[in-house]
Amino acid sequence: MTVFQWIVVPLATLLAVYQVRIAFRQRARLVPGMVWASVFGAIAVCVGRPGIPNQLAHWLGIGRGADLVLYSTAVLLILALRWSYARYRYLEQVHTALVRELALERARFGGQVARDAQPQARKSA
Amino acid sequence: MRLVRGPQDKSSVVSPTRLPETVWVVVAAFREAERLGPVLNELLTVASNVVVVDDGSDDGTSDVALRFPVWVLRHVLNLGQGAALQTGIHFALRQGAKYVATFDADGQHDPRDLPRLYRALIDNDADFALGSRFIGASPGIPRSRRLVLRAGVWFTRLVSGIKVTDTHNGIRMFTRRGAERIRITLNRMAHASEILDQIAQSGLRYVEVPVTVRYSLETLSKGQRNRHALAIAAAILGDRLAT
Repeated sequence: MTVFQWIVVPLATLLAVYQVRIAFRQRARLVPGMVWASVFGAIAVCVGRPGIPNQLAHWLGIGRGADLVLYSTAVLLILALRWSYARYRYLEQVHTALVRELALERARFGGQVARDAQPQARKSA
Repeated sequence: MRLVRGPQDKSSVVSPTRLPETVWVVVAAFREAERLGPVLNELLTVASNVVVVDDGSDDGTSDVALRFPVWVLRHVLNLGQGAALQTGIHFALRQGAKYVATFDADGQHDPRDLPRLYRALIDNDADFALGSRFIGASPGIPRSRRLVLRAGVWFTRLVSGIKVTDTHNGIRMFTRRGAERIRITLNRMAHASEILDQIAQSGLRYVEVPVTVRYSLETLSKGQRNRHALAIAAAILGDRLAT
């Protein structure tokens, strides 16, 4: 084993085990915990046994294991980016709705003269 | 959806000098404490129902607005012009507006154009009246700004399929039915394109009306910069791809 393997394999294995523990301790974390455990497990396997991704790549017709990892990472990053953007847009809309509601609630009518005859805001419409 | 061109010759229009009370004018303002006063003074000679949406300014913009007989709404955080306009449109509709206009707070627009937009809606039985500086006047417009705006027109035609001559003009008027179809979700500058998208999707009739946009060193320093055009295009395309 190379130095890189000595560092990455135990670290990825520990993280995978940690994620499994979290997944089973907190029910809400079951799915994300298992996803992350799979990711760290796959990293440990691919780095510890480079032959496995090579064989898988060959079987898929890609050629090298490194290319398989690269392509998979690119696809996953695009998916993650799309998910993050959707999440960002959702949060932006929630935050906008909140600020808007406050503004609507606190609407004021200005003007020194007009203040006395201030129209009532109709909120029912 | 049909595009009807409004009158080319402004002088031929017999327009009222004052808008009826059913028209609400929404002014989105951010850090406009210095310029808002004169703008509201001028605007109130034409409109009786004005909503100023202070988009989280820290320079006392709402205090200036509150000196005038206008409704003042304040975003506690700066969200962007698109969000401020949507807040104002929402408020105007709640108040029972039959027509809703949008108007910039920086003094670039001429309030006398508002009655022309109103007449264009009535005369053409349209739901959206969009101001165009390219069939109207834009004294002092820099050549680079003209080029960028022209590019924006072509981009909009390509992306939204709507044939207008001016895509980023803040002076517009909607009927209530039209305003109810508009739901601005792009908070910042890309909202102008989003509005055009929604107009195209609504299938309702729109009309372009010649308006004047006044350029000065002051308005140019505050308004959209040419480099923002790319950010706007990216926001629109990004949103299309990801949602």
